[in-house]
Amino acid sequence: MSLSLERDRNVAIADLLDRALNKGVVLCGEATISLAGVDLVYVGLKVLVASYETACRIRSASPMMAPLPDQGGP
Amino acid sequence: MLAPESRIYAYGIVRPHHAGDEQSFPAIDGVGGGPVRTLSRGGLVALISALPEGDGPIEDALQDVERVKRMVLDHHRVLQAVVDRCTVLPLRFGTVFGSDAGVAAALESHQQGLQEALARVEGACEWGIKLFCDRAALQRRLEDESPTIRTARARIAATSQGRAFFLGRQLEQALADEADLAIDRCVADGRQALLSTARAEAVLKPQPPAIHGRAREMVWNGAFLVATADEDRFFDCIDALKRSHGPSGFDFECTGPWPASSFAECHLE
Repeated sequence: MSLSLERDRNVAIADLLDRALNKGVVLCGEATISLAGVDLVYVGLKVLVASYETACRIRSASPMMAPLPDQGGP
Repeated sequence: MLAPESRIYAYGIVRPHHAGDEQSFPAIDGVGGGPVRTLSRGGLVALISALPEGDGPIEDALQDVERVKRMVLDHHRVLQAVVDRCTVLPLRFGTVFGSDAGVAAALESHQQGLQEALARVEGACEWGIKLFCDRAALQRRLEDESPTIRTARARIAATSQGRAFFLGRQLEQALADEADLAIDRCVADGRQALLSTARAEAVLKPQPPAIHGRAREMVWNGAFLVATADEDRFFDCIDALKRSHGPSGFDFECTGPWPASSFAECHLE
């Protein structure tokens, strides 16, 4: 795969989980629920990895229409 | 426990590139299918949607891998949908408020911290960089380049079998140590070069082979916050790193652009 294609909006699910669950602003206020944690990521990933091996990329070149991985990329 | 009808999921804080643009955001379905809308307070705009009634507490959803998967993808999809129109400060997955008023209160009480965090990521995107190493190829290369190691191999070949075994073990260990040093050098070189084209760097946890699925070892995982105007320089830098370190068994993989989650790591209590 050429670098230019890699740079396309391809997202590996593991990278997505790492970021969504471990990064981002933690905004505490009224009734916020703190869910995230490293354990959840890796416990979750162990389970998730098998189902994502064949469809591990979300192609969202058209971000409005980003398909779910099990619907396949273009 | 919150009543199911009063749960508001928050995706991120946004600053439209053009004032008022948040009024014309495209229609997007959020986590659980509720329509995504904006809530403004004190010069800040939050991207939110109501969680569907009857889905049960969000904590329950986390026990179900398929639901977590869908929710994380939804969270990401919503942020991606607006990333071209505004600066996005992603909130951590699972930020849920009891009501619109709760969101507004949080915006108000953290106004300064949120404005500062938005300013840090404004005009830039996050790009992920993973460095993979083929250790066998690296050790072959190190051996090819080292007259000392070649001489040692020749000497070992000429010694008695028992002694050759122990000397061979020592040599292999020395080679493995050299490979570790070469990896450290490549990581340092890559980070320094990439950071010279970026606004900031974040170190991420390297993924285990079961996750990245490559034959090669992931020796570094990180992210760079790159201003849009500097993207070409950043990509040129990746190309140059691939060229210079590829023959030694290294590969740089780039993913993105991401909403700048890795650079939005602040706890606003």
